[in-house]
Amino acid sequence: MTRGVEQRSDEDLVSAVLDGDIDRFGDLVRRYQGRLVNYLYGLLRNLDEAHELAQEVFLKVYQALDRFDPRYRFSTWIFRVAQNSAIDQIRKRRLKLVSIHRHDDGDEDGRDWDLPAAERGPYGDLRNVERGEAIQEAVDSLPWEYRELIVLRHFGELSYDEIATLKEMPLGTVKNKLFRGRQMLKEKLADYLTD
Amino acid sequence: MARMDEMNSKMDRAKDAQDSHADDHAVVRQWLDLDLAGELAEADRARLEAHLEGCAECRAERRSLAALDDLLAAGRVPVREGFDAQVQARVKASLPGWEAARGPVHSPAAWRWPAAALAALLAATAALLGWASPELAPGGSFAGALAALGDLFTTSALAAAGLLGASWQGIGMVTSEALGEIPGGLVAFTVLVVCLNLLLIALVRRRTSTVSAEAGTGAEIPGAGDDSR
Repeated sequence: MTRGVEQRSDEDLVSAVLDGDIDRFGDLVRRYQGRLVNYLYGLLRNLDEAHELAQEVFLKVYQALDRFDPRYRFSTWIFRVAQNSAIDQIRKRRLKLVSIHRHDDGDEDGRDWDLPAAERGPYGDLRNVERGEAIQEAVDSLPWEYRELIVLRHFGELSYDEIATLKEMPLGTVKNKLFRGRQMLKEKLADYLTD
Repeated sequence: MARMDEMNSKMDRAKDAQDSHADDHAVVRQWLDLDLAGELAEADRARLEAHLEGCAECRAERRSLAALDDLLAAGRVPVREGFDAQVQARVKASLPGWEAARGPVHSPAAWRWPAAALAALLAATAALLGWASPELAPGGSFAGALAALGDLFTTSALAAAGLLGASWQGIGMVTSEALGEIPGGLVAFTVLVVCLNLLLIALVRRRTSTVSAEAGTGAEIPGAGDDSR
């Protein structure tokens, strides 16, 4: 009996692709496209760019699929590629909009990230536009270390474990930072939260 | 004095209770956050539920956090229709094409550059000979000079062939001597030749299977690409 696509694990699908069933890569694309596009949009704030870069990420992943180590999770692998691609893209474009200063509290380095501010979002009616822009603004205003984790969690839909692996951070640190990030967002978006 | 001590003791206990209450709420807030993320341990969840039963403030906090989750989820953007098909098309296009697999040798169009180079070489030779003809054939003509150059090339080719032939003859003599002296040498040599041929066949078949994959019967995944780790 053939397992449905939803039931097959990422690693199963990768094996199938490596065995020659290239259509199974399409299943992986459908599984991750939403999360990847949203993650990239959360960092780049340009929907066209997010889609283009997501395509590039899938292509890179496909081309390196034979080197994927099944001991690691596919999700963290694809998001690592996405993260590196987004950073390269940001550096390349040198967007001069919002500048987020990264606090040097023992993280990798104290880079200043020039990140784009939210452009006019892709939301529909006026109420959604207003709400969407408020969400974007609130997320964008977070310090980089919290913004990155919030985007990974709420837009990339990664679990805490996956985020800890991806960022090479202790799980406790991820939990604390996400808690603090969410508390900050709760305050900024208080007007939109119904009790 | 004893009464004073008792009062102080009561105040200390009240303060401790307050601090403990504040600590409890700080911990509960973290538990609420983890619980909504599905990351709270079972034992802590039981304690959380017990706390929530008696704490309206924390129940309100849970509703607030759940609303935040919903709000952030509403902030997700839609993926363009046909995105996955575009990706698959790019993936398939990135596979080496039939033309590239066959190599330019088999394509008529691929001969244009070698043909152009040959034509340029001949033109340059003709120009050179035209310029050098008096030197090559002092009393003769351009045709004489061309003939002399042809003779030169022929002689060189014959010498090279003779040298090659002599080399192979030498290798053959040495090999047959060696094989004669080594027990089973001929058998070993035969096995070596067979293995080399099998290797060649395997290489040719591998290349052939790559070509058939591009035709859509399977896929050989390219190994090139960025190191993503």
